[in-house]
Amino acid sequence: MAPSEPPAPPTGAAAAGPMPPPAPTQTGAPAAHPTIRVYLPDSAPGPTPAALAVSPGSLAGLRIAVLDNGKPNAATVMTRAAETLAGRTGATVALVTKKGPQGMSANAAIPVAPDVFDRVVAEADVVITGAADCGSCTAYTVHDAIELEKAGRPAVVVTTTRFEVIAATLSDSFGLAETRRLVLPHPIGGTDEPTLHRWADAAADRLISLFTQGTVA
Amino acid sequence: MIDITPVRQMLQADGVDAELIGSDDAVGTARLRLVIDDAECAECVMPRPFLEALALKLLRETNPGLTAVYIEDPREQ
Repeated sequence: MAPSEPPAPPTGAAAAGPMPPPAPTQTGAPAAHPTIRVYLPDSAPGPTPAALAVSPGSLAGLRIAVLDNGKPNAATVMTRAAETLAGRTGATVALVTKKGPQGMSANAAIPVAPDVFDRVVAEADVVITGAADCGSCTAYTVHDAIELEKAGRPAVVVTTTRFEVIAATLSDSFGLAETRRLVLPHPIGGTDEPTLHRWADAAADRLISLFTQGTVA
Repeated sequence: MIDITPVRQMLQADGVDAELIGSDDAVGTARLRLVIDDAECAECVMPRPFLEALALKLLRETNPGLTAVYIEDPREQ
């Protein structure tokens, strides 16, 4: 996917080619050429607008997946959040996987592997994915979340205060401005496990709201 | 002179920076250079196409005539 801004529509633009000779005026003098703007037709298309998946009314009985991009402590904080969420709502943590092929590895700077994407869609109803705590991993976490939403799986992007604005800007650029985003303190990597668990536990209400309402109440 | 502060702030979240190396008001373009000399994680910085799209989006807010941003990325050299 190549996020880009479409150029302004070429209203009134003419195709390239030789200009016809100017029509003579009634006085016999050639008329001045009108100004014609020719736009290069080689720009990339803009993002295809997307919409959030239908939000469930309740998480009870639903299956939660954790999609881990391998960033330090991402799995720790997201798995804890999923477990806490499950305990609160009656959902189950059905899958915890890295995003690389067969879920065996993860590169945060590339999209989720197709086989893992298919498995998440098949085995889960809602998804927690991240961590979006660097530029590149934020870009691809947002990308993955939008693809999951398109596939009918509400997906929460776990980001941090430092990348909150970048995640929002990327979401808009990628065609779904209102992605579900859970903002945690920065950094996730390098923070001790008890603190991460505290952050995750404190996020349960926001996760419920994000999954069931599409936003933080 | 285009103020690229919003782009710099975005990049500084990853410990890198950018500088303006040229602009053409008539065409509506700006050229930036990515400065990643002290980056701990060059891979953490978004790929150039993403950066260019985001930089355009950010800079258009104060420069509505801007149509393209080009970024020199030392990772590609």
